[in-house]
Amino acid sequence: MKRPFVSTCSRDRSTSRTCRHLLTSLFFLVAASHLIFAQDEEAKFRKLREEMVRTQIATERWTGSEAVRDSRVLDSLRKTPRHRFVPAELVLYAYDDQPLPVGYGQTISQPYIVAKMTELLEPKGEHRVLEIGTGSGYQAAVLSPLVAQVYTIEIVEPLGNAARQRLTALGYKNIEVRVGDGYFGWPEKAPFDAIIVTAAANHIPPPLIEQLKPGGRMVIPVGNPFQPQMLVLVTKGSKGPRDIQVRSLMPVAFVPLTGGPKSN
Amino acid sequence: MPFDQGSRRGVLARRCAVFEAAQIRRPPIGLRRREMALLLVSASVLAYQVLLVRTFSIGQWHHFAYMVISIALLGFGASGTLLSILNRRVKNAATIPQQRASQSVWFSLSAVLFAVALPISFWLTQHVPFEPFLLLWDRRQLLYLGCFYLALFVPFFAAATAIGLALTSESENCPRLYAFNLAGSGAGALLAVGLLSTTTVAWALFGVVVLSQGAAVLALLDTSPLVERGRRLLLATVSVAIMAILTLTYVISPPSVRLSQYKGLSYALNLPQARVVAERSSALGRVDVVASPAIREAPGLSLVTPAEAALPRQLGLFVDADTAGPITAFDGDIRKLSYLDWSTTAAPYFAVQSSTPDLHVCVLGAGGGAGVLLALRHGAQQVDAVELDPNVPKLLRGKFRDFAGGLYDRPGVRVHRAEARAFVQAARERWDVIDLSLVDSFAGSAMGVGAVGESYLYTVEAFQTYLQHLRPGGILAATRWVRMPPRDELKLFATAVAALEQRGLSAPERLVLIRSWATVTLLVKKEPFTTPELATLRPWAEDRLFDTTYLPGIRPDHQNRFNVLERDYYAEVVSSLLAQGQRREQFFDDYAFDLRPATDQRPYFFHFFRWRSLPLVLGEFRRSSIPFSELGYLILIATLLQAALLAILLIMSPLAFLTRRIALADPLVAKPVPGGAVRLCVLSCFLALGLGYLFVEMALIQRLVFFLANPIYAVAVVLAGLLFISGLGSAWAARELRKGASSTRLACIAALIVAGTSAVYAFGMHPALMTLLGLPLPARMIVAFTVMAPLAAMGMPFPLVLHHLGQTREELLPWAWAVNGCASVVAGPLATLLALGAGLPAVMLAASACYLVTALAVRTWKAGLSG
Repeated sequence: MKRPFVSTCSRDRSTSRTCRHLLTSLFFLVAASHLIFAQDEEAKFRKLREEMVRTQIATERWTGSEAVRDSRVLDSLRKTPRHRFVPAELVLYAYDDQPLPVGYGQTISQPYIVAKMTELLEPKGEHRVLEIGTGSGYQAAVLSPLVAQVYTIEIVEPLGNAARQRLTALGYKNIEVRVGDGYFGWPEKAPFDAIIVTAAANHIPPPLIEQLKPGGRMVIPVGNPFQPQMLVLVTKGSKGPRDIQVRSLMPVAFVPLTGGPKSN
Repeated sequence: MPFDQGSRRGVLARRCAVFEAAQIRRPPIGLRRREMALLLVSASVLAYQVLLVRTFSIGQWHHFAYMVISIALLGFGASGTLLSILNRRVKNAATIPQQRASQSVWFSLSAVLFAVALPISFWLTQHVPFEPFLLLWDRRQLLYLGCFYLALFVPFFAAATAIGLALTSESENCPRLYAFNLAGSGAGALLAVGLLSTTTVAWALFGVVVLSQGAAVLALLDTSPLVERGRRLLLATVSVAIMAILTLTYVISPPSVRLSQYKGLSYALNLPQARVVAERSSALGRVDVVASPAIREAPGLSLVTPAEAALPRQLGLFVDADTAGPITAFDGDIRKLSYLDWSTTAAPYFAVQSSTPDLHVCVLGAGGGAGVLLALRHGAQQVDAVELDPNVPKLLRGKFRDFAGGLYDRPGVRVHRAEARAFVQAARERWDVIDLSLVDSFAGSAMGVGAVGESYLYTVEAFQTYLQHLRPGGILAATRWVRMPPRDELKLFATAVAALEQRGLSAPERLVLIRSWATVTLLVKKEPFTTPELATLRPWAEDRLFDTTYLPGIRPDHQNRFNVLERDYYAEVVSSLLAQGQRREQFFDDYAFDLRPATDQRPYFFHFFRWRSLPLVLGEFRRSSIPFSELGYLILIATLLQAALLAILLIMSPLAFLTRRIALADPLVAKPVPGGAVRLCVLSCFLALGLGYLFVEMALIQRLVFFLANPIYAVAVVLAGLLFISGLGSAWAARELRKGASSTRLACIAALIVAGTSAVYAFGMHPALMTLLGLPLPARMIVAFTVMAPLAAMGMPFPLVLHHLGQTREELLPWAWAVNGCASVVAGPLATLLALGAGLPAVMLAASACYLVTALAVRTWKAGLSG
């Protein structure tokens, strides 16, 4: 659209000046519209987030599914710009009720799952939280306003670096990203009040349990990268290393199981 | 081993023969070259299919392969439409030589197109970023899927056109050509297996490309001399130039199999310093070994594992890019591997330890040797490690011998290259522990894609066999991943209950089920568990925070203590399964997943899907059900729907349009019968033949997988064998026809023979084969061929009925082709659904019914014509 316009106006000086004026005003117009549009966009995304929290997270969606009640968690989800954590071409689906691929076989979990896992950690303002498997950084970002400090380790280098840049650009100050093997935790910063292991694992690394404070909580989603089939919640008691309680929770309600002695 | 790759083979052979009746009398031209070209095209198109299935199994999941390949096969149907157009055009040509010339040009063109399209389509399928698992989340994937379909459609379409043209051009020689086509297909199956056994998929494909190019060159040489010399030269030069460029490009940079980012191997390669340290290929699968300091495998390790029980260095073992257990560093000091005792898999050793001084262990699916190490750790005097894939033990004995501490060469360790079930069945040995741990990958299990593969490892009969092979006091141990809601781990329990009860043993005293947060281990004994055994197991489990979900005499408040489930499905299901009669049946009927134990007649342990839960699955599909639905089954249904829909769209509708323009009356038929009745006969006849052939083929493959104890042998023997044998049948039929036999009579008799044979096979074959299982492999191969011998009759009805149709109602030929084409495309997924739902005998019976319908239709049709 622009090219013919420019070529026709380069014939003589007066037309060229007019053109320059025109171009300048066009530039400002575009810039202004961009700004307005961007504001519009932000407003739109904010609305989508509200909608997301209201319909997907804060309500009981199916019989048997538990709504997330912790208002601090809900607030954090309302504030965290999820669309900045998904690949550019999937921004449109950022607030949909679904996980999204972020490359390297990893995903950004469904909003409800992120909220549920965060709630299970029972984050407090003074907590120090360790995350194994940064991914896009969304989970860390959701945790950020809820706790004192988030330490997050990503094993896939490009993912970790991208997450670090993204989190810095978005102004998250209390998140430290490290690229490396999360198996041995982060001993220099241990112990932690809460640990979340989002990277699929065939076993829970024993060093992580060691780095959990007595009374601390650990959440591990187990299943395929798109949808955990269960959330394993490990709570460490204060009566020594063997004082460990594991609860397996089904994150989403599915086919009601009928039959069996106690059902229905 | 999936059946589909085999079951489609017959399609090619039979579809091509459709043209037998469509020929116009013409002298043979360049017969030998054309026969050779036909042979090579048939062989390469079939080999390509086998290679595609392998490629998809490595890069994606094989179910998607069938989905895509069923579309490629539509190329065959669609080529029929093209051919009927071509036929008419050719017929319109002024003179017979012109017709011949035109046909030979088309033949060369399609052979060349096939040779050119084959490597390009493979390259494209490995470069389109299609991720089946993203289909639900990312709409672009639909576009990629379309590209896949298109890329695969072209070569199959071209090959089918070439084959069809070869067969239509010479009526007198058609039966002979048909035999070449069948022989080519059979040879293609063998060739593919042979190539895959010696080289990688990419280079095996290169062999097929060269073969197809050979066919193209022969076809070019065969171009009629009546075609203007200049045009011939131009065609040949351009074709050869393109093929040469492609060959060169291929050799310089051979395409590699693109791995889905969701495969275990892809994940491993993302780890720090990860590199593939060994890669081996066989027809059974591709084996990769990955080294990275971040590879650590200890399924379901206890949360209270002490620090001194740290994991040693490990290498990741991957079969078809799926996780297949670790290769563990071992320096000969077994005491260092104490982490092994902190998983539920160690349970049987703690139970038997106290009672057995001379421990004999059988590890099924030994893989990288974790189970063998565990046995050695507990002082096993003798360990029989059974592994099907020859490359795995070879790697452990060769390249990684030092790393693995010569595990498979240690005194007392014997490695058997065999299929696990067949090995136990044939063994004279008895063991104290038979260990069946996680013999399939976690990824496959979590993705729910294992749903439609047959497995003779986890059937009631298999469990009985295992129990028979236990020494007094011996334990069968099987471990699976915990799944929510529970499925396979409890089906395993149901299978054990059924096996015990069928031996007349009371199940509740003979079972133990131990659950960690991630794994479940089932222990089964022939004798009741003793008090000392239970007294050892209970604290052992407690120490590790494992729940004893079931133990003889367990207290309900002890079932769900450490790994707490909000609702203890395990306890509920176990108590229902141990209940007798009505309550158990009620449970099976009510549970959301199909937990009825698998049997040899219906060997689908991984099939849990129930139609009842479909509305729920669909209702929650996008949001929540992925881990819960059995994706494999849904893909199968999608494949069936898609095949049916596209078959109608691509094959039937163009023909409906075409035939309207073809004159209905045929002067040869003295007494025209009502068109509708004949049409119905033709329709049912070809529909039944299309379905019947594939049903027999599929059921045979799945049966022989068990008998030959090797999926590759089974596929090769059934594919090649059935094609050769039915080829012989049709050759014999052609000879009888020349002697003046009635084609319909022969067809009727042949169909009845097949119907009878399959009815007998439905119930008689498996028990008969079971008794012969102990024979050496060559003898079993001979038995397999003997089983197939009566099925030579399968090669007869089709060409005979076509012959008859061509003589009486030529205008219906395109219809016959189309109907048969549709039937063949639909038959694969349909047969699988039938087998999953009702078992293999049902598939055989359905085949029998199909051939009965054929016989009946032919009779009615003939009676209608003559009466």
